Amino acid sequence: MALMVAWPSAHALEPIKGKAILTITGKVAEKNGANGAEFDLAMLEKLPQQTFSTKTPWDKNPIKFKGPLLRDVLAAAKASGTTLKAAALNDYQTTIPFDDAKNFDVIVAHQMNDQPIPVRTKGPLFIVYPFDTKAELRSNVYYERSAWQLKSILVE
Amino acid sequence: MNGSSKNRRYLLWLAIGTGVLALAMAILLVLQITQKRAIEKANELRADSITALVFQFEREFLRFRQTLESSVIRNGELDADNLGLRYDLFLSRLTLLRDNPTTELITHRPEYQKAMPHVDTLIAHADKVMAANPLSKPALAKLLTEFNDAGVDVQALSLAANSEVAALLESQEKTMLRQNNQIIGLTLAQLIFLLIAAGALALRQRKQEKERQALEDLTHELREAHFRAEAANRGKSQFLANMSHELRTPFNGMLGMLGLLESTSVTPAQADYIKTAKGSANHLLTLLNDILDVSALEAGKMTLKPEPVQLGALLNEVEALMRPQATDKGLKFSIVAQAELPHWVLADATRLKQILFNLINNAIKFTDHGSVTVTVVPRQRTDGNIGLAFLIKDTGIGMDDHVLSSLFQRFFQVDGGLARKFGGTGLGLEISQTLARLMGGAIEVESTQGKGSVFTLHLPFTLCPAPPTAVVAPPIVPLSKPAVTTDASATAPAAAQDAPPSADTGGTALRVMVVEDHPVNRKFVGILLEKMGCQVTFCENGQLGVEAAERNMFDLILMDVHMPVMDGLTATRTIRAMPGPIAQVPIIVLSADVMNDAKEKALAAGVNDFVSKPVQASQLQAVMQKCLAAAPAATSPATAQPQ
Repeated sequence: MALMVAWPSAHALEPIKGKAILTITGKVAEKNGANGAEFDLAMLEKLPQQTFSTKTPWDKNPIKFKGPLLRDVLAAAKASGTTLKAAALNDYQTTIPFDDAKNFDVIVAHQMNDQPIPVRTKGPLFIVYPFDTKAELRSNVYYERSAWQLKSILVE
Repeated sequence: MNGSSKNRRYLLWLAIGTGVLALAMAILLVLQITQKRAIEKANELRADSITALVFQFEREFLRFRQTLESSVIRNGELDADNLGLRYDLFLSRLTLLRDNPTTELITHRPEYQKAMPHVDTLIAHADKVMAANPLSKPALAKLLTEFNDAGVDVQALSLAANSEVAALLESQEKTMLRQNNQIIGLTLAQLIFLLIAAGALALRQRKQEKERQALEDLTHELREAHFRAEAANRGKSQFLANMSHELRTPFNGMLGMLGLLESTSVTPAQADYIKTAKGSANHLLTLLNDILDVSALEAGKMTLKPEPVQLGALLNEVEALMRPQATDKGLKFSIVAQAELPHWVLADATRLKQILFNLINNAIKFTDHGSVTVTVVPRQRTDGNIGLAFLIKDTGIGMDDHVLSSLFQRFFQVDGGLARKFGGTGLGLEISQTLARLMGGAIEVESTQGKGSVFTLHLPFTLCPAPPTAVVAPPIVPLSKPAVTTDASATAPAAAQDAPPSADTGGTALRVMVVEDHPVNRKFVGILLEKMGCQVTFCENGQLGVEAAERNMFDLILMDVHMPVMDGLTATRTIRAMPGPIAQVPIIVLSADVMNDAKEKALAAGVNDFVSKPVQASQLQAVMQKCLAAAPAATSPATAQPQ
């Protein structure tokens, strides 16, 4: 499909070795688990990494975030659809349009200020928009889509 | 004064009004901004509300407590991972609650101040229990009782947050309502103020309109008054002109009779009386002429009749007439041209002479010793005309600045005493100045008190070719020489002696008809003509004159203008329309009408020439000669000369 042609994806997903921290379910073509595509930290770290600093509404100071682009993660799972439903460890759920992954350099951060993110703060994974690059991103719509303590994504 | 203070007050009110409106708008703006901020703040509260934070915290607290409880109750293996995860999530919520700025809303509440230390103690214990590996069930059970104890405080925290936010929203609502009321009030005030201002403006507009109307009415009235005054003035001038005209007719007779009386044999004493009476009468006539001139000037009826004039001859004439006056007073008198004078120029000779006479007369009048000199100097002009300046210089009493400044004003006379001494209407200089301006020139004056004055007449002249010789042909020179008196005295004895022979030579005598209604005038003209040896026929009005012309042939007709039954001009037109040679008879009008159009009308009616009353013998004789010379010779070979 067009999406897959557009994004040169990794080869077929390798079987998971460590503890799964992200599960992508729903419309995914690549599955390495019972429910869908499962990722441990090492797999996410193998994807091309993005780093940026941005201010967030949750902290006084700008924070440096690091992690793979959401669209690369989705490509790795050969996901296709229109909507992403992100779920967090604390049962928080938010809906993200699939196009957000294309239009913005949204990342799945696993490091804040060069440190792994513990569950005790907002870890282990955190969907972050580059808020500082575009004014339109600095609104509640995108703040609500920024799910922390990310656990899974359902592609619809 | 009143208007300007009113205007100032209006401007002040305008300024105050504008200020009040601006202030009200500024307050409105501030209120709107405050409301906008409040709404934004409410938005923030909704997004990141303290209630949500506290709720999430309590939720994770309860979930961890539940997981802890089930772990303690259930037998068998402990789910350490799940327990750890729930604990981490609970801690994450605690951190969020602590760090979030909105938490400040409840930090002052006793519930918060009681709950937080409790939770801190709880966490300190829990960290130890959770750090143990493997987890100890009794320790977890003890931890559970502590979590159960803390439940009340955590719940209280939730309620505190709720009530705080409710209070906040309520107060914000109140503020917004209050501000809304203020905005409504201010807007209403503005509306009322604007309406009042509009009303005031309308009132002012109406008042101004009224004032403008009043001003317009006043202007109208003033204009009317001005017109009325002008009409009255014109009426007065007309009256003056009429009166002067009426006065001239008896004068005509008086002067004529005096002239005739002079020619009779009288004693030297009687001759002196007659001379004095004639002098007075002449003076009076001059005054009348002045008044008539001013009336004509004022009525705009004075127009110039430029015709070819020889300046040299004109100056000779002036000199001839003025010299006797100067000599009488023992003054030296001369007219000198500093350059060759142009041969023929276009000028109104009568009016030019009038100006020169007036200026020279004045000079002689105000000079007791020394001289009066007229110098003609060429002056360069830019308009292409020939410029000449006539400088009339005297060694008389001169004038001071005060006199100089009002010299050309109407009725001006050099002061009471002098006026009595020198006489005059005070119109002469004004007439001269106005005439000079009509001619495109001006009169200037310089004077030193006690040393004399110089009046300078500046005039432009246009060159013209010499007129046809026929007009010049009549021997003016011999006629211009003898004055009325000398002529009359010379002819008087001749007439007395030659009367019978002239009657005998009736065939050669000039047949003249006099049409005149005034008996004195008729008599005077009759005597003059008889002295010239003419055969005279009298008619009392135009109708009789026409009838006489139908019956008899005449060589010349002297015609009055204003007559009963038929006036002179109608009679002239009738005669001109007759068959036969009588239609060509020379007709000379004798009229006291000196307004310009009188002569025009007469010439238009077919008259050959015009002699103004009072008739002077020499003038009449000259005009008669001129007309006869120009007339077809067929009618009569006679001349106007006696003998």
